[in-house]
Amino acid sequence: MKRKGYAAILAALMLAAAGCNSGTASSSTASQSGSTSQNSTGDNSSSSSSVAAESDSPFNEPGTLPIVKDGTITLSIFCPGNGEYSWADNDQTPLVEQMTGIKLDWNIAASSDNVRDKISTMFASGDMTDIILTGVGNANRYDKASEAMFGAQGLILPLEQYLDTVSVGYKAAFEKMGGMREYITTPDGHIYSLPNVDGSLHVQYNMKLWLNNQWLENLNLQVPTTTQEFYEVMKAFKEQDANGNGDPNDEIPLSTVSSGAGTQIDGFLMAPFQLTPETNKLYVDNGTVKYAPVQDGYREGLRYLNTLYSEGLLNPESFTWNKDAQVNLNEAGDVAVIGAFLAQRPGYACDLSTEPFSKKWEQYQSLAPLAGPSGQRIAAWNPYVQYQTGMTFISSSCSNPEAAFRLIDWLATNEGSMLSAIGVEGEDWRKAEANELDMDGKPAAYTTLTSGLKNHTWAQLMGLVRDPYFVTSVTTNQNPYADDVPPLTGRGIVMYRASQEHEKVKQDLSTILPDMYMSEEDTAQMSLVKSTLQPSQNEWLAQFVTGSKSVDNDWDAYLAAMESQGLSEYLELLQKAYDVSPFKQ
Amino acid sequence: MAAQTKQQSVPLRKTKGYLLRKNIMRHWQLYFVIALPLVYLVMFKYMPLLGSQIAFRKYSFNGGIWGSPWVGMDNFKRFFSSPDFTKLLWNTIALSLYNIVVTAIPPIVMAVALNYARWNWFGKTVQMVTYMPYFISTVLIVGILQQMLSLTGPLNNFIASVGGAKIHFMGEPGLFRTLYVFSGVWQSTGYSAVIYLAALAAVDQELHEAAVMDGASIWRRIWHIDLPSIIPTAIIQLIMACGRILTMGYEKTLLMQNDMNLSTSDIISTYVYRVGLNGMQYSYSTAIGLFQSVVSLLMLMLVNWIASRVGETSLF
Repeated sequence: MKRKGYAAILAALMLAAAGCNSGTASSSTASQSGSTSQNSTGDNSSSSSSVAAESDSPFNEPGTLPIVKDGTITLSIFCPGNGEYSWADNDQTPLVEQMTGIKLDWNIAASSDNVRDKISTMFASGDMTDIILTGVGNANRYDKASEAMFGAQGLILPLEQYLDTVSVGYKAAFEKMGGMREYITTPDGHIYSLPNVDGSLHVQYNMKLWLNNQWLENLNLQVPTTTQEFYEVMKAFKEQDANGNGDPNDEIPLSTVSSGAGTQIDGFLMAPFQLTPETNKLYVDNGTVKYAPVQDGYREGLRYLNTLYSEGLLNPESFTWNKDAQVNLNEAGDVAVIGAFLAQRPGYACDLSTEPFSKKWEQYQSLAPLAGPSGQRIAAWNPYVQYQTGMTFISSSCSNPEAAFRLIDWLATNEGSMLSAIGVEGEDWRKAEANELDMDGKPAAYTTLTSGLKNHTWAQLMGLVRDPYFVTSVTTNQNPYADDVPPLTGRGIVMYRASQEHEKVKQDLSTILPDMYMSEEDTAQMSLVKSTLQPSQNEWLAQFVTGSKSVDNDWDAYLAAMESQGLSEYLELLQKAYDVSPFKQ
Repeated sequence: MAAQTKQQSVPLRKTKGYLLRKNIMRHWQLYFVIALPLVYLVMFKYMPLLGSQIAFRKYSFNGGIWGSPWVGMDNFKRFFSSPDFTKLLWNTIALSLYNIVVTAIPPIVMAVALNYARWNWFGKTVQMVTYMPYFISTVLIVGILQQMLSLTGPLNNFIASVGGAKIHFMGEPGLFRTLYVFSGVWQSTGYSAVIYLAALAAVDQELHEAAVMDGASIWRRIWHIDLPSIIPTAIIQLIMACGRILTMGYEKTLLMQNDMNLSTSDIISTYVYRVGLNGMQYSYSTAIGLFQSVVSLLMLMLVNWIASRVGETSLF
């Protein structure tokens, strides 16, 4: 009897454990964090090793190579994988070691690893590499709140002391780009990460609409400049045989995808009614932080979008399908079937990622921002996206923080960044000749000689500073569609020129709400609200546009729902952070 | 034991410890075999349970699991009072129940049917073909689903060609559960049927022969011989499935989720993924996970108790 009892309890416990093993993120995260962890308490205040006098410093003058006076210094570095290649075998690696005297001991995450999980484990165990990189992709880069949290907990070192004393590359970058230093400094004056700088213009104006100009020609239509004209064009696309294949019914006038760069339905098409910045949908009005989706202008815009949907001009699949599905549909036949789409780049409806590249992309041109019924013509602008923070840290257990800093700072100089972005002078690029023109049609500064080499440079790994001039001063074929121009290069120029149209009507700098640093408490609260508020608002948006909820009758219920998700609290937290930030006007 | 006052040899008391040690000595090979899995179980399944305590703390990297401050039931309160709690709980339970009930039946039907297949090769082939979808990854399944059900996909084209109106399957909140459950049926029926087939194969052939001689039709035979032999297995599967009622896996739901069907497709696991992992709210998500586990345990015990009252089979 008793044996049966024991057996029963044991079996019950085992099954309970098996049945209860939820395998959700929580338990696996808890188990990964490991058991008792004595974290290295990195000293948060300025480090004791201030910059020594030149005579006994192991380093040469800032700005001269090699960085290390005698011999080499070895630093351990954690970074994401590089596809099938290893950073250690990269062509640039021995060059950097030779030029700077700093050798790197690579700890590379396998491509399929979750970089953040690995970093979390490193932090939790206290066993960190000297330099920690997340890679430039949005998915892994830490937001400011997390970065500030790591700094406050003493896991990563504050770097402003080095930026003030021995910096060369970043010092020049601060001078060239106003607002950068403010953007990366926490309210208590610390700088915890060394950002990459991507001066491309097009990422600052992500939300574009690409219109099939071939179809406009086919139907003898003018390029629309107002929302009313745009509606007329869409109707014409739907009713007539716009793509010229004899079938008037196979055209999809307007489409977008459920998620992607610049693809939100209430972006470009909402701007004529209410400016709605990407993703967070927040802006500043005379010093007050506001949420675009609850404004009256937004309601008007919803009516417009609902009209487009109910007349069959907006593809119903826009809320459910993804980029691959949209590209496949458009590329399936000989003629394009999509009239207009919302995205950062043409690759969202044309196949520019696998050879042979699409021919259809030439039909699509970016539409200049439309004017609304009230005459409002404005484009959402985000200049701060150029500064990619949260990707390069020097850990508190770094054996030689100054060496680590100087290495990354050297990469941030013009010569370092040319090496990382393109390669060696004479082999991968050369100075431009007098007759060569750049993206702006002005005399170019340099010409690239090679392209597409694998594992040749460090690219965007760390410390890559490409200011706007760097980006535009490359020799460019003024005709993006010329036969000898690869589509990806031509695309860059097309997007640059398209962005210049947006730049003409861009929103005021004082109305932009940048990503800000907040206290740990506030960050936790805010990220919780954000992760429930925005999906809810997206759901309501879909319902309003498709008509399953009415803009006239259900608007109050919508506002109430946003309130119950914590909208007021969210705005309060943001306002508080904004008021103490350097951005406050 | 009888008390003895003499100081001499006290008879050997057959304590439990003594018996256990003797047992181990005699069957040491068996204990040796089980030792390693036991260590694995303790190390990877029981010890991490200690980490669950962060549900009652406010976890920070600095403090770690043992050093973070206590906040009691704060995390739980936050979850229960969040505006989405009712919706999440209902969505999770509804989806789970629907899933359990619907996926319980087809494997039984298939197993019984295959058992009576006239040609052995037919039975084997069908078994293998239906078994295969189980090995296709969830991502692929959802990808196939989205392609097939797209407004420009084969199913909608067929509907349009017979004169019907196209249905936006993936965007209808009302259709989400059905799509989820039935794609799961397609994927797992073959695999689950194997267990039942094994049970059916163990049925004594003499029973069938006797039944045939008594003039029983196939249906009677199924009802009186086959089903009773697999009912115990089915009940155990059901009990274990009920134990997983709140901890429904999130991969497939997350992949099938989009802005239009959030009202039915948002379940506790996807919420935890969004808030916990993306928002790095470790304590909060652990609290939710703990809640799920406790409810699962209670459900398991409840259903087990019901099963033991109603029938003879129960898990424990």
